Amino acid sequence: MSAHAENINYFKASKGFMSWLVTVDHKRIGLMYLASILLFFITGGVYAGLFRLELWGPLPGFISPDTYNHLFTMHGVIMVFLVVVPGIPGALGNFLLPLQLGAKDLAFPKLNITSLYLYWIGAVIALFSLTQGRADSGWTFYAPYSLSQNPAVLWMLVAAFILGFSSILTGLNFIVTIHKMRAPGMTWFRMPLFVWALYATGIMQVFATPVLGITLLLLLMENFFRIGIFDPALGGDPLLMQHFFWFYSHPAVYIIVVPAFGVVSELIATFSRKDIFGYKFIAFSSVAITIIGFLVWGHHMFVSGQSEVADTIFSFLTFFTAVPSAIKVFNWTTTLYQGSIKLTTPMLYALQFLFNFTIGGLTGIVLGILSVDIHLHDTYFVVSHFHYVAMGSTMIAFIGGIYYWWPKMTGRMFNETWGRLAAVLVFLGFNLTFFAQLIMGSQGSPRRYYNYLTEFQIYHQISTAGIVVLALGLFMALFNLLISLKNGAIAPQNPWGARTLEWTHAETPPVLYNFTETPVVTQGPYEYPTEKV
Amino acid sequence: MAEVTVPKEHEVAHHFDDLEQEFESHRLGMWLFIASEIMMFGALLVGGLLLLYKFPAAFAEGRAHLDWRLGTLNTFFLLTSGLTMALAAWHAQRSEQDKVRRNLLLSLAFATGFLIVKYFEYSAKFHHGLLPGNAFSGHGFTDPNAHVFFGFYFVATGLHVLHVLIGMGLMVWCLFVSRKVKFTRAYYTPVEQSGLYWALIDLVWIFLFPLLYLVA
Amino acid sequence: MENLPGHTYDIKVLVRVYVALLVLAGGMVVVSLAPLENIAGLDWIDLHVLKGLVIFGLATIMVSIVSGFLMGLRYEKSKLNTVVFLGNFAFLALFIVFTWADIGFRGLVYPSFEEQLNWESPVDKANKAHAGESEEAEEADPETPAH
Ligand SMILES: [Cu+2]
Repeated sequence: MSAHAENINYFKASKGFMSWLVTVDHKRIGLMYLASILLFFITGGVYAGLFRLELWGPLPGFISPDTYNHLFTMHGVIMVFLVVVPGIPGALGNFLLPLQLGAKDLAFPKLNITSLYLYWIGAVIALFSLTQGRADSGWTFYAPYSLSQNPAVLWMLVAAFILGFSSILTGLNFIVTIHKMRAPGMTWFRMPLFVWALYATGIMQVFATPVLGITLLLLLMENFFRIGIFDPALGGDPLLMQHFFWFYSHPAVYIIVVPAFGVVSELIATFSRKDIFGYKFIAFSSVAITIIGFLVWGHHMFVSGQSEVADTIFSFLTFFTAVPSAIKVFNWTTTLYQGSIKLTTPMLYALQFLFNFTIGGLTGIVLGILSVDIHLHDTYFVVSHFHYVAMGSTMIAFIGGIYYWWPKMTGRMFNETWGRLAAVLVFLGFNLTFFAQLIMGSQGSPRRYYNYLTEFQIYHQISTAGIVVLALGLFMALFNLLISLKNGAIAPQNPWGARTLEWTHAETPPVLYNFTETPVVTQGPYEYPTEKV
Repeated sequence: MAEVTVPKEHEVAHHFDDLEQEFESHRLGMWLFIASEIMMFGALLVGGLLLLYKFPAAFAEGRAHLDWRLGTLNTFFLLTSGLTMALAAWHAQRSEQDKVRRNLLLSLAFATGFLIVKYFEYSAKFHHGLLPGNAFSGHGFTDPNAHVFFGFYFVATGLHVLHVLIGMGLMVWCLFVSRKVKFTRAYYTPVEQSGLYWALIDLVWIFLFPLLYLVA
Repeated sequence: MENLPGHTYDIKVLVRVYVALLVLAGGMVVVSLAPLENIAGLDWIDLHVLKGLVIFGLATIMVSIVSGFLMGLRYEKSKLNTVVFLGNFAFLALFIVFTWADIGFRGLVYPSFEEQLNWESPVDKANKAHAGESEEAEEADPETPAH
């Protein structure tokens, strides 16, 4: 590396395809994550598109029932393990965490590139499973169906295991970085809320993901050696497997959505040009969600044959998860109040997030009610609920975040008009797709069925039409960004007038080691100069 | 390595301000990694405890087919290697490279002893058909869930043995590093981290040993 | 040297810790083998459970010694690593308690699904297979105390 390479922008610091593959620069790793995740988002979306087209009519269409099972399994596995779980931390978190803290890099740059490679290896294995048959267990791999020694399911288990490892290493890296790598003056309460969110996420990644690891390992062992722990045919307890799985997978819901909380906090503060209302409440509610998130996994098992005692406890505790989420929503809304709101593209996504997350969160409470869940379990209501969270909240915040930090990442401004148009289409498309499913589910239409009663056809058709609009909006948003790479105006250092370090102290795009000199922090992340009225 | 290389002082990585920050980061990182390993093994042990709760008779029958003397011998091997790894770290802080290497070799020897004992235990199980699930062909058992004990036994000890092998790999790595880098009070991270990892293997065994061999 | 990282302790501490660990491990084995069943007046409590609790109690002491001394938690200025370590046990405690709330209480209101399971135990299969064989193939098992 040349003598002053550290003061050259990170694209130009070294050149060539290989220089990206062997890089330890968190910014490049973040961009590679971003590209991979978007690729799999499209892949998972295509799977969804295919089976939604099939569901246009109740009778068998162009897809056979087996293929249908395979398609929704692939959609679930790809979207969960390759898109929403690694999504915001992998792409935005990697790129921004050191910048927002005023550090030169993450604490363990080599570990960081390792987790990217693990992600790729896991992804390749997941794709390889396609050549081994058809995985059809759903993304939850419930025993005993996942014990049927389907080779494709076995490869999927291996893939998810490796992806879990990648997630653990990312979380570990983030926690250490936040504890040990903060710039002088960057106290805990001067950290941007995105950093707080990543911190809470990191705790869950490190403490919950290993349990998924052992679950998948036990499933593999059960498949190969018939150890009899989960397999009821051997005297095992299939519900034990569900406990293991959901001990990870409920916190995983928060691994998915808490980073989105962080992104939205940044967007709302910046585009309201106002100090965020209740900074500490938002920060601590992220941590509170982490803790409560470990206490409620049994609400996925109300109709599984779990004991009534456990049902009651888990239902009761589930209601508590609403408290920190509601605190956040109220604080964001209050931040908007009397702010100088700019309806830029990223802000449109943040507002969509507020709308969708409110629906996603409230439907979750409905599902937590024991007696109601008996009826709504395994209906489209559940499908709609978690899509309002995973897609309507997480992915929407992710896209908003990509738009918001795009100028910093690439040095180019995108076209606002097209960006806003795309955001509106995404909003309409998403809500068409999933609000229809909410109604249909509340009327008892079961999920994952290949066929359905004709009275539900109208909802299926609205839903399928919605996904077309959604796809249109998403591709428009994507092409808008890609076109800006070539045609976009050169971005200034701080186009949004934000107050966090990546905008105020780092160049656009940042230099190799992020800052030409280490920033000294003297104020909070959202302290805007007060304007006299 | 035939040529004699003089160990060099360690240099702080570019993104850290000083040795202290680097050291503390590595230590916290290792602890978090250990935390995730504990969660993984811990979940498995929780599973084991619940199986013990569900099938107490099966566990009692299965346990009767494990030899507590071999288990105790292995506990001794692991605790002793834990001591020698701590001694290695102690000497590393004082730049006594030779003593570091001697302790690493001792740890490797005890770890090997552990594996040898495990080999004899496993082969006895295979010989008597005390295997998981459908492979089970032991006789004289009455509890219909007795095979579950051996399923759990092989998964838990197998995963533990895998970690022993990784830990031994780390010891060998430390032996190589000790020729290249001079350990100091401020920098002995490889030995420190490998020692922490080895202590984790001890911790797991401390719970696994009673769960499998002692409690009924 | 004061500001340098790392922890220092006397080498004697390590040896003492080692001896303590050996003693505790021995204690676990002794408790497990002790014929407490023969002592009169102890029949008011399930001895297996009592033994189990004592043994796991000893194991917990061993774990705290290993983490405190050999892993150096005791010598750290910042208690962060200790919190991480204790966090593990908190999460695992939650895991076992809540899962037990299921496994321990099935069938209180509705019959447990397990009663309806139809399965053939590999143990029974093995026993049947052996019953079919002649007894001479059975050789004495040196490792097994009792059949
Ligand atoms: Cu949940």
